[in-house]
Amino acid sequence: MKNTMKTIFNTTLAFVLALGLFTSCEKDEEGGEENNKEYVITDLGDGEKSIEGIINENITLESATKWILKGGVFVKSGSTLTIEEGTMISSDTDESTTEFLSVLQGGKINAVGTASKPIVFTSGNATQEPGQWGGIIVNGFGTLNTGATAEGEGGTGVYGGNDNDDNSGVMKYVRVEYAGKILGTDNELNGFSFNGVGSATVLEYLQAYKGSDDGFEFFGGASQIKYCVSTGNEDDSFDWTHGWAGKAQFLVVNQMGKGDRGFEGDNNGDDNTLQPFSNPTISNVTLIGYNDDGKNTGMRLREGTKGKIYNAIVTSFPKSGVRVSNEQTTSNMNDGSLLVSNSIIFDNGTNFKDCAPFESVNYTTPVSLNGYVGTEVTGAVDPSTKDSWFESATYIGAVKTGNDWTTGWTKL
Amino acid sequence: MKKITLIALLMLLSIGGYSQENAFIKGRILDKENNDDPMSFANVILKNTDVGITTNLDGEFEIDVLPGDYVIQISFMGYENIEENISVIAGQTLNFNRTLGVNAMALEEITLVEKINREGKSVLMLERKKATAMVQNVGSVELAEKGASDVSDGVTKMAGISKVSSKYIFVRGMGDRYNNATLNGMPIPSPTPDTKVIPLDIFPMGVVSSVSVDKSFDVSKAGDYAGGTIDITTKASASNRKLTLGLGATANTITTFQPFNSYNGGKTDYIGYDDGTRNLPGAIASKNYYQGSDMNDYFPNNLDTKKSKSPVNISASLGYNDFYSYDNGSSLGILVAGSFSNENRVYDGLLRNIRADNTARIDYKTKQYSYNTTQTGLANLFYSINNDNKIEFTSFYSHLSTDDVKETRGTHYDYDNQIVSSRRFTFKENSLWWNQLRGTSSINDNLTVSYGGTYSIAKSTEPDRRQLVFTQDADIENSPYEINYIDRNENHRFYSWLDENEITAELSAKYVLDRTIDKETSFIEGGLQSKFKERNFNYRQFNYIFSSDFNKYITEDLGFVDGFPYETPDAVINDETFNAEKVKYNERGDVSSKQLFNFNVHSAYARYFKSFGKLDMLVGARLEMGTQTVEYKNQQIASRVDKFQLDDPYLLPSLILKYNLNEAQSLKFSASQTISRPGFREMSNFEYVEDFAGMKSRGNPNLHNGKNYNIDLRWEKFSQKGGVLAFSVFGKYLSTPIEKAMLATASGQLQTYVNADYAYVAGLEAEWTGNLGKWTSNEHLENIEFGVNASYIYSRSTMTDASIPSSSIGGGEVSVVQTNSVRPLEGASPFLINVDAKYRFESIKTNVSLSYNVFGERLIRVGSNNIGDAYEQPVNTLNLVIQSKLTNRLKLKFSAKNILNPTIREIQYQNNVDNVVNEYTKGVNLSLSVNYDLM
Repeated sequence: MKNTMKTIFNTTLAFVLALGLFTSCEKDEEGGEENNKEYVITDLGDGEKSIEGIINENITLESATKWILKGGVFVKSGSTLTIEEGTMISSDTDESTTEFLSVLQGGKINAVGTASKPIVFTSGNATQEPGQWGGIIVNGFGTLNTGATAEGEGGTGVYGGNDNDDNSGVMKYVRVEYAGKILGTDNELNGFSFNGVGSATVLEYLQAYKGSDDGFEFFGGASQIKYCVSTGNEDDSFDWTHGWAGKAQFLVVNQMGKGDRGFEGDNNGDDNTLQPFSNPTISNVTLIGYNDDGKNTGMRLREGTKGKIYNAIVTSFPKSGVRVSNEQTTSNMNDGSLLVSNSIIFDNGTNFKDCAPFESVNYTTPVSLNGYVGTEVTGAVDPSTKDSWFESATYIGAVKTGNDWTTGWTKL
Repeated sequence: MKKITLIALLMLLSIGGYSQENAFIKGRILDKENNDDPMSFANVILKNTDVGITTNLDGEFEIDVLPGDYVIQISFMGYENIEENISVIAGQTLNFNRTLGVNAMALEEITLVEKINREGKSVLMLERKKATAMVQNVGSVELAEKGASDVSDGVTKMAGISKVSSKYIFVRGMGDRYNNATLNGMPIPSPTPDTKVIPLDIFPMGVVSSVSVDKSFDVSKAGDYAGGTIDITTKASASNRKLTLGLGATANTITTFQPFNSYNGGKTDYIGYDDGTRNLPGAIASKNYYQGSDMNDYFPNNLDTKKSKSPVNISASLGYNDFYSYDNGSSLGILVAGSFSNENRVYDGLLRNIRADNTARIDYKTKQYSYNTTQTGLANLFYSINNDNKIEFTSFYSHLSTDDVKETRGTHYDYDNQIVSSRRFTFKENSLWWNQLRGTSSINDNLTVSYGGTYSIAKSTEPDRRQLVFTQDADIENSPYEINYIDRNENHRFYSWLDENEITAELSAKYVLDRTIDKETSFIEGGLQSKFKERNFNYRQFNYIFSSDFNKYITEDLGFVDGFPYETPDAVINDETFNAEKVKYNERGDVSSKQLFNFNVHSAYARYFKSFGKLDMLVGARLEMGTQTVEYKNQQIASRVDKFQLDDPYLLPSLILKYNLNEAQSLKFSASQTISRPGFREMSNFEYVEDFAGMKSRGNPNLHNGKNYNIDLRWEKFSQKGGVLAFSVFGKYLSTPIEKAMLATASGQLQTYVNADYAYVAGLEAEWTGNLGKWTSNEHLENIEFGVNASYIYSRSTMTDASIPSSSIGGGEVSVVQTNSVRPLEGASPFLINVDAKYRFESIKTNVSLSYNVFGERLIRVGSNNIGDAYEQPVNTLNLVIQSKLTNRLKLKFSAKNILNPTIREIQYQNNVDNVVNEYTKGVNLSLSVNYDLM
């Protein structure tokens, strides 16, 4: 206050002297660094480097370095962030900031690991726990039903547009651990957030591990994912809303001690009829619940969502296997635009709630599972006959015995 | 000596034009009860004519009339009436000097503390009549009689003024942003961070002399308004030593003696101040970020509910004033007043969030137990060196506290088959200490210089808000409570601090160019004003993180077989469970929590007044140069400092014309341009939720100032007895007004502020006050004073913008998703009606007054994604006040407020369905108070 008083006095004096001759105060020069790097890489020694700010050119994070994210790190439109296979990226331990990686609209990520050398994003804390950093956010130009464009959770950028074929790059063999930091009410980052991401983006072999919010969340767009594992995430494992019209094949949900819903599918909570509808096509899914508080549900389909789910195993959810809520959602189910088919839903609190049993769903015969490994051919459909994007996989479940695509790169 | 008290606020009395054929009556009225001092403001009336004036500061009056015979009547409140037949001859002057004494039979005005002041209605009516501006004013005497207990109550009895949720004043449908408040003519900031205008319920009538609302732009006032400038004049001592004690008690029909929930707070909670109990524990305060469960850092265990019965509300006030006049012609007035009042309130309400298809997403019943206190202090010292030089110091202190227990219970879309309950303890203190020094100096007969400065400190704290959220199985009756551990942001302790300092200075000079004997016919005035305002805000939130097996743990390991002890959480959230690592604290990190705001504005104005016979003209312009900045660390990239700045120079013109149709009637016209600026919160990227499950709200750093174009026309007719009949018509065009809007976000409904395209406001006001005896000879009707005003306001704002620039990194546009792009201005009622009636029982020295108020439905919440806008429904309010003077020293007052106890309802309209989203009653307030003059 002392300085302020001084400033006030000086200003008063100046003002009185000026006696009506109004002089312009200092102008705030902001954002005048357009041409320069908007990010900083700092060598911390011992093979560690930190990265902070907005990546506004093409750069590569090499695997020889242990990378530390400081605060929100953004990839700007027109720039590509390449991450080498086997690279380890951890969050800064400054607790008052929230670390995350956000690929802004028009920016690209090129993070391709391998089963033996995955790219790992994790908490930098000595004792790793859920919710210690943000997660990965990809923003695209896909369509939404919240408005033409929207703001992502936690100031992670704007997304949305009219290009469902948009390309935000490639992520393969990427594991995100201990994400989901809280930013505010209903405002928590997820392991992976795909915000209006378009179908040309390649998203395969991704694991969200022990986050404190959702594992994967889709806000509109038409992103397509394959071979994804959501392990021990404390809220929903896969969550879609606001008009996600993408595709997904080979999804594993393993609640492992804590969790809410396997799938939480919404259209729009304000107005269930807003278009474009959430309308994903999903096949080959294994959802394994856990009884931590008696409340977990396998698939919660509500707020007007559409969609077609084939070849799903839903089991061990203490509340219900599949539950459908809200008038519009029920009406979608009745006219077939919302469908769970060729699936086995067994050993849940109740297998289906607030809906008639879906046709072609087996509610009685258990599948023999070793963890989440195990499939059933009886009653299965070949998803490639429904849509050519899908690989032919005429079995119910995500991981076939003898062909465990999760080994090597995922964490249990 | 009385004249000294009036500090150049009143101009000389005016009488009509001069004419050769007229006769003159001149006189001087003296006060028998006061050593034959001149009696100012005595009423002088020629019966059965339109002529009615008031004596000037020296007790003198002058009337010019057509020659003839008249009945002259001299009167003053509480004094005897003089009525005499007179006869006047053309070109000659009749001298009429009399001395008035107290009429033993007459009822002395009960609340008239000072013998001569601006609190009386007739004085204020005279000011209004003489004013060139579109001013409406009301004195404390009249307000007290109408049952107003504070200024907020008081101004809402004026035409076109309404109040939303006891905090926000709307003038002609224009909300907080479009109004200004001044205290003794200079700016006073608000102690509450989200309002521009100081909550007017801070000012109890005990410290207020009068309130005026100016609805036309006066270039000597800040230019950021379009509704009204509310000026509160505090009391100043004008009479000899007096010490008055007031005591009162109030009961509310739905609260008093009813169950009342509270919690373990500090020792001084009853008087409204936290004793430090709620301070952030030192070990945590010294850290930037806190996480964990270290023994030494523990917050106190104080989550239990305490049950009691609500007591009677009390109020107390003490006032002292004295007045000294010295032989050298100087005089000194001193006044000190203080008051305390408290209030217990219980509200049963609803909190509903309705989807576009009329189904409920959130459907909670709410119960709120509030304990509120108000403390005010006023000190006024004025020194009049001589007739030409006066200086006055005023210090005003106000403190408000609210201590709430709010409970909600109901269903939430995200919790299947569960009942969600929450309990929140909130304690808030808002204080303001405002100091003013001002003076006037008459350099010579024509030149007067006025100067003044204010320094104020405002603080607003919300220490240790505590909230817990529970769930229960809805399918089982009386199923055990469980803590909701999933929404980790909801179980928390929250602290916020706000400090604000403001300095203002002004200097003005007025030079009279021309005058007649009783009126300035031409003057020029110029002034310079500066304001410096700085605000610091910070908050910290500590979330309770419960292990997912917490509920199982307390049931099975700790033996709470009935589940979570809902009323006594301390039994399970304590050292033991922290040590067992079943619960811990985790701070919600936010590097942008510390925010610095600055608002500096420098202005210069000039105006020119010229009277052309019956036409008065006041023309002026104000140059305003404001700089408003908000500065904080970027939440995402901590090394960046976000600073947003709004600069303006504006040249704001104003023209006021007053045409005096005759002695009693005038026609006023005004046209002006003003601006509107965003509030600090509206510019800041800080996101906040006012309530559990309430609307999320965030500022918009890309806002710019709006411009307002105002036009008014008013016809007024004043009657002899202080009555008035007035009609106004007004119109406003607001260019890029700042309006609420909903943004498209991933995380659901988010309200922000956007520059709309434009808005129109237009309206009519009618106002009549007078005496019903005017039309009949019935003496009972003679004793009824009646006032009625009604307003019709049309407002439409249009916002076609589909998007605004995003303030998040990377920029881009974010969609605005409002349901209705054209709608009324928020809070603007299409109609407002006030009716007052006062009856005097002369024989028992008692006044009975009834007042009634109703407003038309008003927009309170903007809808998005096909969700309709919500409107508060009309509320009918009826108050009764009975005041009696038992002895010369003892006064008694009884009031019954909100007699009709209407249900207050908020309705969200959509798809032809009226969805009730909130509904509550306030109960009837019955109160009894006494005022005793100790000295």
